[in-house]
Amino acid sequence: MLVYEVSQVTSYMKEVLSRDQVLRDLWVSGEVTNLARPGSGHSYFSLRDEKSTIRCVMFRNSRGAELLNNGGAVIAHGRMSVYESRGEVQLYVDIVQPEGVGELQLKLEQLKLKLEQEGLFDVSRKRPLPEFPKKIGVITSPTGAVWHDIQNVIRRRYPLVELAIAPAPVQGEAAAPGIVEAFQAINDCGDVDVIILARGGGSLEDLWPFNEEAVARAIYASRIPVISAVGHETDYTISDFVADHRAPTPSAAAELAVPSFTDLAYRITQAYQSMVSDAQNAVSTRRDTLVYLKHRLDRSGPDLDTLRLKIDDMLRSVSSRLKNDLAVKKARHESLHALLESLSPKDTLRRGYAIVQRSPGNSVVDDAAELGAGDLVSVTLAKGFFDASVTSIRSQSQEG
Amino acid sequence: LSGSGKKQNVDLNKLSFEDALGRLDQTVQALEKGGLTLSDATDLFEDGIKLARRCSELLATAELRISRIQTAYGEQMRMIEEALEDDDSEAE
Repeated sequence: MLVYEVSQVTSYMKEVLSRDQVLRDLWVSGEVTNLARPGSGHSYFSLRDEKSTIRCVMFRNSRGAELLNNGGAVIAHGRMSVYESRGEVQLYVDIVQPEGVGELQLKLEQLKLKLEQEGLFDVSRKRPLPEFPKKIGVITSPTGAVWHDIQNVIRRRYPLVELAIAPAPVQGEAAAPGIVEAFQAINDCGDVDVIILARGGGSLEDLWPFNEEAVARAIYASRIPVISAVGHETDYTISDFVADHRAPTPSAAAELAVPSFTDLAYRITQAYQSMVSDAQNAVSTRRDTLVYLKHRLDRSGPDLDTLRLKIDDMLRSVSSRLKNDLAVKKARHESLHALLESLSPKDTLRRGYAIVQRSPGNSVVDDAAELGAGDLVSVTLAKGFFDASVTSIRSQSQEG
Repeated sequence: LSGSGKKQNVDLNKLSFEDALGRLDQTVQALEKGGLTLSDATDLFEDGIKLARRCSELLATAELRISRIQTAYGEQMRMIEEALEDDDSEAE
């Protein structure tokens, strides 16, 4: 016979419970009692009916903890397990829904929790939409008003795109596989920039395909950003949570997918006006600079009046110097002239001497021996000249 | 663009709306920044005016294109429509 230790028993119980198909994943309805929320933020409570009570724990940040009230009727989802240090079996709750919600809602909450834990809703993987898409893929029914609304909005806002519908049923059994196929077909196109998944309003049952796991996984797997617009503004489906963007209505999705015509027209007009005023500024700035430079040039150029006066001054001083020079030279000339006068033979001639010059030749004759009879001479006196011819030569010795 | 309007090898009238608008933005920024020679500024200005005109024309003349991506459901719908049309023409 085997004897077990206590912890072996609790551990074994835990293992058995975790393998049980029912106990590891179940919904339990009951009345909330003994609710306690210590500082940790976890919720401790019991669920009971007329016959029994189950201890429950719900960890912080679980879905629907705010619905817990003593005496309130709820439906809780979770797994049965053992709190080993006390050996107590309790329900580890991860979702709480109010009593009375339908089965679909419970399924929805359960799938939402699962996909959220897998990271399908992570904000970090939400992709931005292209600012100027060229081709928009639309997954919806080709016969509904939704498809027309989307066409109208895009035609009005930004008709520069191609709008490609990938027809899919949006209700009933065939919808989820049809939507999954449409996602595949659009992704295979290769040139679609953004996908709109759209459906008009309806009941939770009508919108159910957009809460199916297969659709959620198709959105998650899409290489092209997805805008989900299912139902009315107040309807939230799992598609909305997985998609990169959620729009409250199909028309709003169309608006989200493209820029607005009026915004673009305004932007172009602004650009145009800005360029024109910049160009005008560029020209007028340069014109101002030119005027300013010309003004400076005028002020800083040579002063002609002063120059003119200066030239006059210079001319005056040159002419007075020239006059001075001339007077000096004249005086000098006069003194030289007087000197010359004093050296002239005229005075000697006046005393009765004469100058005899050979004629022709004009050489002065100072020796009678140079002459012979018949030579012609010219004789200069103090007053006047005369020519003479030599009749005879008398003697040399007479002289001196 | 780099501040010079000399990239004339691109035909501005063949640019897509997105490219034309992007270039228009760059041109406006370059002109706003200033510091260009008068001739560069003039070239840029001329390009900018062409780009603005190109953008406006594209916006004004564009027509939404509608197309269909083939899906099984789409094919079913098409076959039903054709069958209905045949019925209609037979009835007439």
